[in-house]
Amino acid sequence: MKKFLAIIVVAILATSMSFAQHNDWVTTHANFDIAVIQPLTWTKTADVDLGAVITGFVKPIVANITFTLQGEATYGNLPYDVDINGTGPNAVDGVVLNGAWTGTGTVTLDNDGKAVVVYTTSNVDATLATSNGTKVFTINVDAKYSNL
Amino acid sequence: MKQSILILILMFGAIAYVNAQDVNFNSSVPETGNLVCHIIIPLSVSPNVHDDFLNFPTVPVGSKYNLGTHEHEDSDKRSYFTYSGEAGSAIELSIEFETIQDNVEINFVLRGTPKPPLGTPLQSIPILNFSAGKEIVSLSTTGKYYLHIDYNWVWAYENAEPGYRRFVQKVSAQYHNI
Repeated sequence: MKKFLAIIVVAILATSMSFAQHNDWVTTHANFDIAVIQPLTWTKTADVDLGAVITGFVKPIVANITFTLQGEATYGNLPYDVDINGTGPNAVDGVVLNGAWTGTGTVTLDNDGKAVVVYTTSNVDATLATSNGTKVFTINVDAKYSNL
Repeated sequence: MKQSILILILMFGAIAYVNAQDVNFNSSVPETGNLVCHIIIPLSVSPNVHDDFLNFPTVPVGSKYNLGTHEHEDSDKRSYFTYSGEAGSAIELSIEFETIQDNVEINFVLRGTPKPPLGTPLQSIPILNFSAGKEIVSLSTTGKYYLHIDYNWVWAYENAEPGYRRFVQKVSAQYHNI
């Protein structure tokens, strides 16, 4: 009889333990990562006075305006790319400022998160100038992070 | 119940406000730069050739002929050039002298002024010495500069050959530092 009771008690305990493990909480995790990065900002060297050019002539002039772009340096070990576009200058009153951009296109920011864009003049062509006086040539750059 | 409705209304309003900002998380960042130049008129001179000595001096061999009683102070033999250009600009003058030919020598002095010469005493016009072969002067506020070559004397030395002589003085000018 004692043996029978002992078997019954063991059977009841085993059944109750089995029910206890039957519906435990099962957990998992989803991570939502956001990289908050600093916005792009520009600094530049001073505007340039190219001096005097005589109507009817082409004057060779080499001068630079340098734009420095500051952005986020790296995401983990990966550097950021930026798309940089440079436009201008347009002719003013028939006067043409010739030059070239360097540093534009898709550029990888350096270890400090910087990229340098330079506009270098080559000459001012006043051959077809329609008037004398001061002419202001404006150049523009814009940039944004690539693939964001 | 009313409180709950009020809270709901405020929540919907806030969401609508944020959406209305139309935030572009990667908009282009622009910058501009300016380059300035100054277009000026070309420098010109008039006349290109001064050639009007209708009564050029006749000088016997072995003699000196003064062109004015006080030489360059009142000489009536002069070449006179007017430069025109951008007002206030500096110009650079240089001259190639020709003073001796076949034992005949001429002597002259160069004077220049940005002021109109009419009514200006000759001796008040500054003498240009062309040190280092050139002279840097400024155009007037009307863009003018007046250059004189005032001839002082002609000397036909003893062994000069008789004949006609032409002495050419070539004056060149350009804007300074352009």
